[in-house]
Amino acid sequence: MINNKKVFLIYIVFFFVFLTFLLFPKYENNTKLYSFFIKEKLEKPFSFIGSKITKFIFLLESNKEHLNKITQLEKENKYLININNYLKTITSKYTDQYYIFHENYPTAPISIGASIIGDKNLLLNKSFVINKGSLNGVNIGNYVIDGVNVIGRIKSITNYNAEVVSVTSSDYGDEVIIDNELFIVTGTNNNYLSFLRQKNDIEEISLKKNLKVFIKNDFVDLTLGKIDFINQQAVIVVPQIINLDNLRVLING
Amino acid sequence: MVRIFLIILCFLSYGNFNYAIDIFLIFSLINLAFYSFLKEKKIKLSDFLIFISSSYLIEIFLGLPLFISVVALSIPLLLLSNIINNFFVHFSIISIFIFILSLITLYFLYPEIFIIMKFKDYFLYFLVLIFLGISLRLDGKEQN
Repeated sequence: MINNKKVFLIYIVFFFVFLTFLLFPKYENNTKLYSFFIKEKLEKPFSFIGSKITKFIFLLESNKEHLNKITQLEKENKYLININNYLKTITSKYTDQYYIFHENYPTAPISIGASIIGDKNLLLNKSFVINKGSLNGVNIGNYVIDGVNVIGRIKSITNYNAEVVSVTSSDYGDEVIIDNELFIVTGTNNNYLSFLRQKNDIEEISLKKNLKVFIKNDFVDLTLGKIDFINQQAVIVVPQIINLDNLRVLING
Repeated sequence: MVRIFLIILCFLSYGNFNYAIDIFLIFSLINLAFYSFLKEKKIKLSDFLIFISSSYLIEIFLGLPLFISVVALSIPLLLLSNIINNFFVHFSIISIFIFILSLITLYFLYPEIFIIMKFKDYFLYFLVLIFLGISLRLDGKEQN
């Protein structure tokens, strides 16, 4: 039946190869492994080109989608800008309130409470000692106040104590504002302060009784007293009622 | 030459696509093997080598013992070739016979595939039948 000798010979060869593989499965497995190894090596360039083509097609498709998305987002953005402008117009009346509450919120002056530990009756030299010093943040020149009324200024300090010169002491001198004009005043060891001179203006200004005298401060204007006249001479009368148990020292003033 | 090219193509393509295409490639290899063996009464060396190579690929891909089909199927196929080629049968009938024989072989290798496949999936397989018919006809013209 087999009319070709070569074919018959090859059949015999493969028959023995088959028998070898059947008897020694290791050789069969190795042959299979080599076949797959060759397959993998031959596939590599094709799979590389294939992956490149797939990526390119994917990029083309995704590019189309992204362009559509960009157009849609541009439209949405335009719409939102219009709405935002409309809302800005509506809420513009609240802008001032916003600035008050969020941006220009007034800074409160920092002050610390202090108690008198020295001469409380101010009899000797119109100065007293308080229980706060440089370690508490007190510096020379800080104002000592009761409410908004100035009681005195820090004259000297130690770590834990400070000496305060009261406004009525002759050692006290300050720059005050009366009716937007600056004056230099000094204590007299009495219940009033006398004017030394007007600071800037050459012309004299007629002072009226009960005009309030302020001391300019960074955060709050402090009250020194009121204008009064003694023997037709203008003086500043300090408030009579001063609560010395409720003193505070302005630290950042 | 075309068959060698198809064998290389099947060798490279197998495993890179989905399950259905892999089975179709196996089916094509079975067809190639049967066609190479049954197309002539007197088998040529080149046809026999193509039969060996295509059956070898099927054995590798399906994990069968190597060269079992060469040893086991050569004699029955030789008998079958004698029967077919001794009678004057139209080439289209031979191509249908090879196609059905390949389908039966595929059924023994993959019985579950005939449960999974739908009717429309068979259209791809009929392409093989068409090419079988065309190649048999061209081969007959060459012989004349």
